[in-house]
Amino acid sequence: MSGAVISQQIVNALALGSVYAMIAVGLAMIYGVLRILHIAHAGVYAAGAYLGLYFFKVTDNFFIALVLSMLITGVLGALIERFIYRPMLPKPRIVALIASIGLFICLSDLFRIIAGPYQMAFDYPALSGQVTMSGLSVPRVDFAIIGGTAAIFGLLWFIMQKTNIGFGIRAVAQDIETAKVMGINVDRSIQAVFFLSSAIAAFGAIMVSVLYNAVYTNMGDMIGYKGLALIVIGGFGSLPGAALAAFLLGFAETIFTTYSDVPLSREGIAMFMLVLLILFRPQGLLGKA
Amino acid sequence: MFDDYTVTILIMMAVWSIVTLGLNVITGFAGQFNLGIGVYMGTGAYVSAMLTTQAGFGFWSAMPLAIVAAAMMGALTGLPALRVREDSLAVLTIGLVFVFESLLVYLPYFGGPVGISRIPRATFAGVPLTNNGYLVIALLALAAAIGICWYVKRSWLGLALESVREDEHATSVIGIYPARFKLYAFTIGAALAGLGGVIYTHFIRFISPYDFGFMPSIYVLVMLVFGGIGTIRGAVFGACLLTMLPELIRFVQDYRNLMYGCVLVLLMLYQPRGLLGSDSFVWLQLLRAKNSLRLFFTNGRSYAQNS
Amino acid sequence: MLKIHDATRKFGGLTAVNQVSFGVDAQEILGVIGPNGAGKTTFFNLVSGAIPLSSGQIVFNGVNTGGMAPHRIAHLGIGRTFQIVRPFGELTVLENAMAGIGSRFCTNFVRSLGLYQRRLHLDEARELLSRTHLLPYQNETARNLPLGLLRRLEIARALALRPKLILLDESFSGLSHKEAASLVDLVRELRRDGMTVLLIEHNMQITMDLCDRLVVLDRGQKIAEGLPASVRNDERVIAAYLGNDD
Repeated sequence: MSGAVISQQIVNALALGSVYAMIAVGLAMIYGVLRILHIAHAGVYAAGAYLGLYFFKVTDNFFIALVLSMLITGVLGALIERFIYRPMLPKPRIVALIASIGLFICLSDLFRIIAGPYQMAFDYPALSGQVTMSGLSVPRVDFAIIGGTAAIFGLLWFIMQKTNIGFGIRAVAQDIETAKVMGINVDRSIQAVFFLSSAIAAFGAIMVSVLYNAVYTNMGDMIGYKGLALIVIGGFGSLPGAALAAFLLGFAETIFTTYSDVPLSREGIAMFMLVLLILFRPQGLLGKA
Repeated sequence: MFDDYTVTILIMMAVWSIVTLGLNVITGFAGQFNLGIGVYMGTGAYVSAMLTTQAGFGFWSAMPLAIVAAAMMGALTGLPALRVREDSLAVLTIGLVFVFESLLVYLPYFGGPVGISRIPRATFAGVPLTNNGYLVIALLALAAAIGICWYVKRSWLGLALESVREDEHATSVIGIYPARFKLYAFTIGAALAGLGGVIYTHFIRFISPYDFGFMPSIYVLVMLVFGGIGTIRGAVFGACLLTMLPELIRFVQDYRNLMYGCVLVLLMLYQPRGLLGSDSFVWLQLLRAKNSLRLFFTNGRSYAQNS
Repeated sequence: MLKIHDATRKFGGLTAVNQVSFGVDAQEILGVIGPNGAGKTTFFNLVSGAIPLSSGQIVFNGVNTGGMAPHRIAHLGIGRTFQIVRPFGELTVLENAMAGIGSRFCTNFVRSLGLYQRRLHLDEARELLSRTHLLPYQNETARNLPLGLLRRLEIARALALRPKLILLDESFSGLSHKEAASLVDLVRELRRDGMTVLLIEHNMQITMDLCDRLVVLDRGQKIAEGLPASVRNDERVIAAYLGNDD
């Protein structure tokens, strides 16, 4: 096995991990403030891809499409919080979980009705194709994913640590009642979380669509389920934990699917690893026993 | 008696009612989140299908073995519930259903992605049953499932399960070991779902891994929540209504997921106890109607005086 | 009957209960008092097995309960209530009491299959409810009851286990004067029936009046133990309550 192949695998794994991390960190933020398993995030993710494709076709400008899609998907996320989760907060936990499932199956059917059941191509020549240098061949979009993720996480870190909104979010995640007493606008903080995580999901979704040149109704499903598993493994609500778990999964999946003959699908292997991790470290990678 | 189409719907109503009753034991009685009921239904279905197609078993001898296998699967997947709870458990059961599905798909022994076909019909006294005959078996199985749930609910076991659902720690300080009862709930619920799987298999006579994956599991949860989680009447009502509706109304069939999804969200917003759950609007109205009827037929005297 | 040797519980760097030792005699009413954050509830959690000891020993009737699960400790004969009430909200008052009785039947699968709505068990549950003055509410759903009734319901549920020792965690707080007085009578009655009572209470009048002996905790340590009258005049106790940092 040559060094080139290994570097190629590393880039692939990093890109895959980045996509997982974007979803998992969003879900972890939402779990942090509302203690909700936002299964419908999978639907929000697909919405981001559809919106991105639509705006790309309309404007023929990838960056405008990307930004518009992120904004609108962010608003969609905030609306979901406002009209579905907020009224359910006082009710038992299972109520919001089931509503989230309902929203999730509702959304993917909605895409089928609007956009049709068939897979659509997302062809952006500037990012499609492979980069080849010194025997190394990686999809060009992998670099965009890794770079974009780094930029987004840098921005997210800045928002969380240096701005008032971020302070509010962290306070709400610590304890909602105390945050209220401190005079923090709790509703606005929660809205901000949904906006941010949904916009990040839209970014990830568009990148993945370009990578596989495909947009389809349930494209968010597996990544959504894995994202939920990742936030459990990362230690509920811990953003670094979720990101770490996501990159580990990216590497593990790449290694297993390339170098083993386990008779399972990629998804099966991933889920199997996630199940084992949840069983043996129920408190999460970074959680305390 | 009935035409084939009606019989098919009736049998499917019985099948989904049984599986929903199984989920109700786990999630409704014991309060343990489970988004992977398909694992147990699938275990029952696959074991019965394998035994009858490859090992020469008959319907009646395969059924108990399939139910035992499903119960064992329930106990096995119930073990994690001793370590993780609530949200982690919900996520874990999603993971399990995908692992189960992909195992069935990738192990050629289980027929791979195409599944198992040519599963024999059920027989009675050596004669293959007609659809009408099979309907009787399905309804008997449903009656048995309702009977079991009814009994569990009225036993110390049922009371302990409900205590665990309400407050695990408070249950343990009154001397009941919650872990043990969670395992019982998983085992009983899985056995019921397995029974549903057996009845399903020998009627459809062709099964594939995707019949017992994540989406079917979610449909069962929708049925349970729709009817009223925690109640036997709600589980059966929800399963029957949601099996029937897509058949009766073409529109519902075309937009099934959209409708189910919207109904689920609206129910959670306005009637989280489902249509027939205790304290739900419809159920309270029904109780009131029953009382007024009773007063009407007893000429205004209360029931107690009359009897 | 209950002997506590150097019971210690650490949470990270914080020592919530620090080398507490004392004994409780049979049929005694013993009050555990102390300012907020003194570790009283943590101490109860150690006795009932909700959290394990970091070090030390708790011996109940000659049995070392260290490392035992809460349900096993309950079966040894220790019942408890909670400072923040934890009723089975969706069950009726009667069913809450029945659940307590059920613990005697839920020891194995076959026994737990018995039907619970038998006259024998219903009578026992109603007897418990009438002792705690809850009989008029027997068919109410527990979550709809006010706090005062829930506190009594927790006592009824704990009594269903027929405990030898009962731990009452602030069972008097949030009660009206009349409710508190009837609860005081109930506690005395329980002792007359041979039960030992360990209680946490903030209301000094009730503690002084009801308890045979007091143990005072402050910042996880036992600072005084003795008759109510002598504890009341103990300098360290007064200092702890006034918040002197000497």
